Amino acid sequence: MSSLPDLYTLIQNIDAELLEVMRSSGPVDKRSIPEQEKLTKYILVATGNLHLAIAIDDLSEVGPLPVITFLPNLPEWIQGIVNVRSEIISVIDFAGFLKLSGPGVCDGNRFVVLQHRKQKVGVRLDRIVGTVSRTKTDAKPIDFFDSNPLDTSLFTAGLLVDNKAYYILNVRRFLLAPSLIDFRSH
Amino acid sequence: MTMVRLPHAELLELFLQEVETYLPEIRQGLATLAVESPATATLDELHRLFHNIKGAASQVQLVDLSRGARIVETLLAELVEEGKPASAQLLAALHQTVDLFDKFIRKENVVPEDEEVLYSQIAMLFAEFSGNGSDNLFTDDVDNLHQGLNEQQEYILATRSVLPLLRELAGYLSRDVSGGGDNNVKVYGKLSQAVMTLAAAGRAVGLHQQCLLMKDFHLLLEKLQSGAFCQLPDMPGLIEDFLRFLEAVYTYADPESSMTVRRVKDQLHGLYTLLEMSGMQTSMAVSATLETRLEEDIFTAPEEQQDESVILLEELADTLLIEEQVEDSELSASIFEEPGQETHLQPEQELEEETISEDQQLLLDIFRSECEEHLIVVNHSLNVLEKEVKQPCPLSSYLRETVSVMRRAVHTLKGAAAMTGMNLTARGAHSLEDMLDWLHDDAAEITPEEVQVIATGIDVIEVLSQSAQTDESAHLNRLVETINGYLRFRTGRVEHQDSEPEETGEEQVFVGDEGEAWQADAGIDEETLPEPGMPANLPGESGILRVKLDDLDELVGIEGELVVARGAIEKMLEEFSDTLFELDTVKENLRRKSQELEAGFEVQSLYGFNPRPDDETTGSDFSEFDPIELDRYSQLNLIIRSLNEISVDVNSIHATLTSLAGDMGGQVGKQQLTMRLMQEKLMRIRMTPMSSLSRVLFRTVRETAKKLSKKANLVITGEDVYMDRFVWAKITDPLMHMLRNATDHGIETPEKRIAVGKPESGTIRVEADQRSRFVVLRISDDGGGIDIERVREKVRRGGLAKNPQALSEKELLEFLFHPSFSTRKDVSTISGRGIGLDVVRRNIQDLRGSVQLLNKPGQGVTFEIRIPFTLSVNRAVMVRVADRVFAIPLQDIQQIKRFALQDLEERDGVWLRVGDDVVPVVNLGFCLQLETRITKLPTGREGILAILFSRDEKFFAVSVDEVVEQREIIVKGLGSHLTHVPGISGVTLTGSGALIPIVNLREIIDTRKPVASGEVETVVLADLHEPLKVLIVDDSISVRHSVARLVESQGWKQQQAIDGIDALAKLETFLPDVIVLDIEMPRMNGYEFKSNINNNDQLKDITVVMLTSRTSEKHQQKARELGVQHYMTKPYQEDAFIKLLANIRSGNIN
Repeated sequence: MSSLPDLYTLIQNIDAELLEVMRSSGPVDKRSIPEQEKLTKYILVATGNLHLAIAIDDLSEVGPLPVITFLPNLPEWIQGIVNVRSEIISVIDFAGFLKLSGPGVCDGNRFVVLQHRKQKVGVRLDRIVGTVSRTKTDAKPIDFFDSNPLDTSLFTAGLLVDNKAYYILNVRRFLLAPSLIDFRSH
Repeated sequence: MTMVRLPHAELLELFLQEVETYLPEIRQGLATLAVESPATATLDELHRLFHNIKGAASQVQLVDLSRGARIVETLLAELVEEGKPASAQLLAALHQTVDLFDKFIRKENVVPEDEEVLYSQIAMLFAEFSGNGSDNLFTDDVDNLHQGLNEQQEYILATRSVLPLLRELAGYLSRDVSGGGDNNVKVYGKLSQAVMTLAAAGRAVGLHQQCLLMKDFHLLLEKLQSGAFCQLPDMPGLIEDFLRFLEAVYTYADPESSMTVRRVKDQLHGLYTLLEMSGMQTSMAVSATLETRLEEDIFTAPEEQQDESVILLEELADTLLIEEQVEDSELSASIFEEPGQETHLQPEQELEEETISEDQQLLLDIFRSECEEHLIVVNHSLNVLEKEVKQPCPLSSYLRETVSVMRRAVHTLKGAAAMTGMNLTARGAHSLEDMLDWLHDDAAEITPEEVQVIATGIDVIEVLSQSAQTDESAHLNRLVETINGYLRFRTGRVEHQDSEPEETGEEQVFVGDEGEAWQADAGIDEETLPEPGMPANLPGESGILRVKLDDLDELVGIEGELVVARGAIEKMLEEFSDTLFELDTVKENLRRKSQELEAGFEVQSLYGFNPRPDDETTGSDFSEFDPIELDRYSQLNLIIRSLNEISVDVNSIHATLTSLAGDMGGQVGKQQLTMRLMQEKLMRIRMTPMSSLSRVLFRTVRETAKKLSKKANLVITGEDVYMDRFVWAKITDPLMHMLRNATDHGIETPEKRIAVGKPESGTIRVEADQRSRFVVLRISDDGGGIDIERVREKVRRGGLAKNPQALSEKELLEFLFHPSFSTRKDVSTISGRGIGLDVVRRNIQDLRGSVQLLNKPGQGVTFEIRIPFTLSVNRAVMVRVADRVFAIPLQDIQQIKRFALQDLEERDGVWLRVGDDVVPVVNLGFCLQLETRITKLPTGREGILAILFSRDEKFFAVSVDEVVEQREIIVKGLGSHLTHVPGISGVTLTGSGALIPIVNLREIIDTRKPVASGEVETVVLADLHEPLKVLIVDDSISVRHSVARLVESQGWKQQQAIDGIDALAKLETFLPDVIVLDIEMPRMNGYEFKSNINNNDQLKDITVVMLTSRTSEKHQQKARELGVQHYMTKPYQEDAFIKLLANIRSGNIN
């Protein structure tokens, strides 16, 4: 499997070249081209002791954490709100939300904005590790990883990258989780 | 070759219908031409028809068909121009063209190839007529041929780049027969997908033979991927070899030549044979299918036939494109006719049929919006009828006029519905119009039953107009039956045989009793025609333009951004003015120093200092002159002179900048004014009256009462009260809920009402009233009111309070807003489930409003809702609390005042004396969870700066540290996640993009209160780590700014002073945690400053970091003596500097 990253790069190169072929030929009857197992690009991040893989398609923003504005009457895991290009986004401490034991409240200076339809939530992170592209079949079931029991409704699979387990966050489920939406009763 | 994309099915259908109507005319014309010659008018007409076909075909993207029509059109134009008769051959060709068109439009499924074939055939038919002026007919086609060849070349080049990569990819295939399963599947899959892409692209550029071969290779790879073949250790190598072979084919040979094609085919055959010999797994169903396809495609096709087509193609490529296209089309058609392809097409076609085009959707949206307006009128009339017709009564002129108004609105609605294709709505409206016609024209009296029928009709039309048409046909049928039945009953006449309108082409025609026909063409709708002599309004002059709400919201959003941006410019302008002030100081210093230099040193320098070495006057003939007698300048002289000049220049620049700053300030002021006007206009556009909501409310009461067999009238007052459309939309559900509640819980049954001496029919009132920036909505009923004892009992049984008996009526009523609380004994579909009033309150709170309940047992209940009429703009007071800024809407504030000590009282907290009242005051920082509660009177003489506000007719007060400013704010929500945070109604943005929370005073004072069950709400105290505050004291503007940027980059706060004196002034209003101090500064240096603050108890402990270019121990020693804790020299390391400040902040070091 050590050569796999090269294979992914090669496939990406092929895709780029095929795009050129398509471009050179003008309109192509795409119905005849078979569906291929899609490569999903993930961003690998860390918050506390938790390592997460988040599909790039589920993100609307990645970058340094803007200045957080504090709001009262919120649980500790909601750290406040930020202004991202005139859009107001809440910032949460993900480990705190999951009530995981760890180094305490996240005070990292990176963050990502998760998005499902119109719902957006920012997650404060300690660091952004990198990105990988993987197919669905590359993902391992959650019980493959011998780790802390996690809320399996939010993590359905994981990725093994450089011998480290990254839990794939199901962003849709997370953003629709009652405990997130009805935060006052969480 | 031109590939066409099928246009939208509906557009295509319309086009085909259009052509169908032309064909008989064309045939007629051709018949005329056969007997009359020359028949110019007929030729003209034929020319026009083909011209139309050409244009329409192009419109629906049937490009080849359009080109075919163009050939005919051009020929006919030539004939007309030259006045020549049509020859028999030409007529025959034209007849055949018509037949071809006829055949084309009758096809069930039109595929692109059909169109190509049609074009080729037309081109062939008219090829012989293209001699003279029509030479240019095929010029484009020759161009297309060249373009096609270019595309082929590009494709070949691109394919050459891909094939080596694919070979490299094949290198990843595992040679291990037992292992590498997943990996091999992935690689075969990717190869298969890539090869199919090449096949599709090849076909698109006309390399049909290569396309077929690639497809076969793709099938082979697909079989390998699916495991249909046994794994062979050599297979990866064979695939690699084949790809290498393809590379060679695409590098050196013409891929489409028959020789090359045959060689590739042989190679592929070899590969297949090898696999076949290795044994095939037959268990997989898919394998069988693929096998058959592969064999048919590659090996069982007669060689000769393949070759013939190849040869034919090669020959034709040298001659005429038309013929190639015929061949092409046939080949393409054969590919498309494969059954597998057909099934593949099916779902897309279905999807296309189901999907509504954007244009249609827009039309529907416009219709629905228009429909709303008509329904408002209709409902208003219905309201009058319901009010007036309590029993059968004669149709007075007033009632007749009411019916007439309603009829007109229904009629217009019918026309609009039919135009939009909302045929069911049109039918419903038509049926209702019948009823209204009869009432208006024939009936002598009107009964409540008739009003009821009309109400039902309106409800059905409303449902139909807002929903998918097909879902509601049952409603419609019932309505038509009801109305027809009723009319039969009342008049005995025979109604329309066809309750469904006849369909004739595009128009809907409804035939009335007297045989009059109404057509769904608004253009001939008599009622919409202007009166004779009256000028008709052109569409552009009608004064009304429909705008999508989203567009309007977007516009308001953009306007908000502009306001924020303007705020940023204002801030920059302020900074600019400050800098100008500094420049003024520097300019003065420069001037003074120049003068000092000039006065003190210039003359001396003439004698004492070294003259310029290159001065030509030195030792020259001028040496006998005294230096003053002849300007013999030393270097210093020159420097002083130029310094003076610079001083004058700086002066001049300063004057210009000052004037510019004034102008810019004026422009910004003007912009502010204009933007405020624009904001007001935009807000006005967003405002809608309550009447836009009333029909929904009437319907809610009507339907609920009907279901419950109760009698209830709704009376609405204040229909002309305007609110933001968004606010109305959000308030609609709560209002409907309260009306349902009022009908179900409030209004008694007719029998009970009569028994208690009330009118049989109950009355529910909705009153709207505008008060300042708020709208107050009162929803009241004259029912039985709320049984307080029942509420108490429910609270007791539910264990919702420790001692229900001790609770007041108001406290008990509060439980009605708790989730899952209902006093109703039975649960119905209407109410009683206990879901509702909590949601109602939540919705109203989301709108920054409040709801109050007033109960009068036996007489009814009143809900009073108070909401701001717009949420978008507001004026607010910015206050500082615990070193953070918060906004408080001006409309919430009764008074802001600094209360002196004599106005304060300490008794279980702090109280203010306001007139004769005493008002509790809480520090806002405590409510916001930023501070602990202040329960003692302040020790200083300043008293308390407090904001007074009222809630539930009681006064409350919160204290704040400082009122920063009052300004206009743009209100934004808290984002998609935090829709409602208690005590915070939104945020506003500063010019720099920072967020300022907007405090909802009415809520914030509750946030620390225990909940009803006695549990203390769990709240988390905020991180009280304030941002570090730094005062930067340096006379160098560059140093100040670079340090300031560094400090701000950490989210800390900073202020700047240009010297010790300025710093002392700043300290009066800004108490920093750290002072970054330079040594050498004008007026008061760093040592003097430190020595000065050492004498001030409040300031002496502030940590000082000396930042200077003086590195000597002597300077450092002096600093230490004065109590300076940290000494850094310029240039400083940013990281070290930040680390130092961070350590000071965290308390690691002083």
